[in-house]
Amino acid sequence: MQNRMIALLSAVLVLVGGASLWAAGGTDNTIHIALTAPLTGDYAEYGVNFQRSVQMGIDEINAQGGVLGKKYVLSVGDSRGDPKESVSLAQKWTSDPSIVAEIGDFTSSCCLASQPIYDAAGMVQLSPTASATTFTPGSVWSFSIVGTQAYEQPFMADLAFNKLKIKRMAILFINNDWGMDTQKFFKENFEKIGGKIVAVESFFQGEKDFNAVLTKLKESKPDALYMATMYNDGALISLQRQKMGWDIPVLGPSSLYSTELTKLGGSSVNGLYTNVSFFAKDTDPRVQAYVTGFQKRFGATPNFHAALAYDAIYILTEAIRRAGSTDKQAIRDALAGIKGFQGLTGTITFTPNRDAIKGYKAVQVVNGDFKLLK
Amino acid sequence: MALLEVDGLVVHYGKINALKGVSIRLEQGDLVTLIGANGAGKTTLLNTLSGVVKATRGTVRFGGEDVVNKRPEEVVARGISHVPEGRKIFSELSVEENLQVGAYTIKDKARVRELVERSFELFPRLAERRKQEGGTLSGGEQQMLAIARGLMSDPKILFLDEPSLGIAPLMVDKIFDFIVQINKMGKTILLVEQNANLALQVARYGYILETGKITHEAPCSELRTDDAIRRAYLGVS
Amino acid sequence: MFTQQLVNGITEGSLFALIAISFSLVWGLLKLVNFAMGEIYMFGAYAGWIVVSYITPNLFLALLAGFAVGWGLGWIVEKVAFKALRGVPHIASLVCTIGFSFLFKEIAAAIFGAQTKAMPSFYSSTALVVAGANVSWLQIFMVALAAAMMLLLQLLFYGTKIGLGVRAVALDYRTAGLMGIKVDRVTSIAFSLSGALAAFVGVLAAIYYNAINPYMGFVPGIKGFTAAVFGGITSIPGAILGGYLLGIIENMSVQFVSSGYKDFVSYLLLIVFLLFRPNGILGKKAKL
Repeated sequence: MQNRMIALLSAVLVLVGGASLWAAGGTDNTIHIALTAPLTGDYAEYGVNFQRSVQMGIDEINAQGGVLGKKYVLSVGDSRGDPKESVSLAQKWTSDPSIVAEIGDFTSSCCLASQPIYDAAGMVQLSPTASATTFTPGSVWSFSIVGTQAYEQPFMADLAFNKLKIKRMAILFINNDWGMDTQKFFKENFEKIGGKIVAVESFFQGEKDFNAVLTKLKESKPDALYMATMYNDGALISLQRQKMGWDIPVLGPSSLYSTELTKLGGSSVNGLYTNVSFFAKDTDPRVQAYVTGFQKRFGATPNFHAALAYDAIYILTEAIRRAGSTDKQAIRDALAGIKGFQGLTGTITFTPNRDAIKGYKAVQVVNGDFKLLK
Repeated sequence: MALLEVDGLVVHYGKINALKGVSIRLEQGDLVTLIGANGAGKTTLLNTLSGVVKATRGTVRFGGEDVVNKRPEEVVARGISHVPEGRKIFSELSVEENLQVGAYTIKDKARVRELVERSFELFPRLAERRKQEGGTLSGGEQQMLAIARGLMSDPKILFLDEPSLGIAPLMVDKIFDFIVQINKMGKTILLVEQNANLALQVARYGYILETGKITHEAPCSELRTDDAIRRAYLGVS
Repeated sequence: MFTQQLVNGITEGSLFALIAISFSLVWGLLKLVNFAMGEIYMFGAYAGWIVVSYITPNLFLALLAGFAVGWGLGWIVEKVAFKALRGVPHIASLVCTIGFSFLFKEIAAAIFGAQTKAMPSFYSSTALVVAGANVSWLQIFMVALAAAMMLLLQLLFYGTKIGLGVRAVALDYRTAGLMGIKVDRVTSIAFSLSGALAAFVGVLAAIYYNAINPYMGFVPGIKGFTAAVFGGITSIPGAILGGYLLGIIENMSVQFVSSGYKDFVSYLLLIVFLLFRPNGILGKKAKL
């Protein structure tokens, strides 16, 4: 009687164990990861580049035998740049027992909104681009590799005040988590070293008419304009500024670095200053391999954000390799311990807050092309 | 041959059987009245004849041609004009524009101008108010405008739905004078009325409609003296 | 700077006014709002962009192409969202136009890609300087074209037979039908015209702002609707007044309040008017 009981219990245990192994993706020799990105909507271009880069990285890794002898399987979700969508995708990923880590989202607002879900479920949320300073300190499961505005803006303030000798600056920023942060850190640092901010104005996502706000900024008679915007808004602002006949030096964060800026903005963006951590014309062979591979496969030149997504999948792979397992806690701990990772966007070392310190290079648009500033 | 010949017309509103086989005929130049209580199906009959409501069964022959279930604009183009209950003046169009809408099926602009002038001759009161918005007219004037608008398509037959409804008594007599005058001009008229007294006085022939069926029909002179009808419709006990 | 903001406001107001007329037209005829209006505007911009970038850099041809595409899309939306759904509760038609709004956006994103595309400039040189305000030829052109369009519409509605038909159908479609007006046809024409107008504005806006993308229609759609409600959605003069006032108020609020409140001011106006004066400034008395 007792023997039969033990046999039955063993059978149950084997079944349950087998089921959980299968659920963890262990038996089919695959590692499931998720990507959350705005594939449609205002930020679709960034999101599509995320998907391209991550897929490209996964295909390369899988072609070389995968990681821990297992192949990657990618689930992609479209957040449309909407924090609500990002949250529901986070719920979907974390309730799927086969998924071991998530890459995304694009905007800080989306990442912040879905952060509590990943935190509660205990899953790595690795954003290539979230740069709001409040993001990664919010959860031990949150990582970002773009480098926050707290590091980038001092560089831009120094460039403006010390190198370009700009004393009076007017700021125009996009009114979202990222834009607030960017303008705040620029303002603080610029004022700290002796500059004067003469006007600060904002706009909401989707605005197309900047005539009114530019007219008002012009009135404050600044030496230069700081645009804390994405490149597409930046191009629009520059075109309308040029049409107004307002000729003034313009600077902005690395979000402006895109071939699309010069394509859309034409001559109005000539002379604009920004910075890069990734430069598509970099002679580094790894950068060139990525750029030509990307161009061949997708017919487009990758920008900074695309390269960050590429770095994200490789740094996650490195963490899984070091962890030696697909256990979520082990992956997180290994990721947090990574130092000096050689990415395309520079050397990545996670700070205790799990964001990254990057190196920055100043660039200027000269005749429709980005040139490194000497 | 009759100008308008309706035979066995059946109409349903969903499951409700509103007309249960109605047959009427109007000769050229006739003035015929249709009398019935509220909800008997009078307006339904007119709406079916003018193509607004679709019939389930039955035929409508107008000038020898079958017009049952044709679209309203086709019916109007063939010479049927329907002056709806409650006048339905376009309140924010001017008197003149209201008339022009009545002639919408006529393509010749000169002809439309001619018809507008003829309306003003017939109804001088409207001529004084030609630029005024329809909604600013009195009830009686609106009824005149509605009739004038109905004549603008230069119809062979005119349906008048309750022209006395909600009009001051003095004005009602005037409107009935116009109805007789228009009939004398050669227009065939089908007059639907609750005010049976008045209708039976001006019309030549009458039909009584009760819950979707014609229950009596006779020359008006006979209907006026029929005891049952006097009790039911003329308020005589 | 006041004058400059006034110039900016009048230019932007011209665009709002034309979109507001589109909303008024549909409202007048069907007592409904076409929420896909912004996306028809967006497709108009793309039509204009195709003409100037691939066929010939002719602004008038671009405007014409926008007008034609808007006409077609207006026609489709009317046939599906309104004609096919006649007799079911109004909310079904409203939801259907919201569906069209998403559908159009995603179709545009699928065909043209989601990224912003550049639209070339026309007449961007400064024409005159009034009290320190720069006025470009394009601004003059836009305001004049909008005025010409409004005049044409006025002539159409008050000087032609079809215009009389539209006004009659708007007032009472049953009686209009009894008079022999082809109600379906008139409704379809007016609806298509509203789409054509929105798409025409889309081309103008694309040239003014030099950029197009599949999501560009949302804000002008809301602003046009706001302008219509503000001035009185039942009336075309109201829509025009609402459009210009909204353009001027928005630009002045940037100057004298804060740029962060630009949209806030518009949406506040929308809510206040919907709550307390749903007939708008010109109110019920005004006519189509």
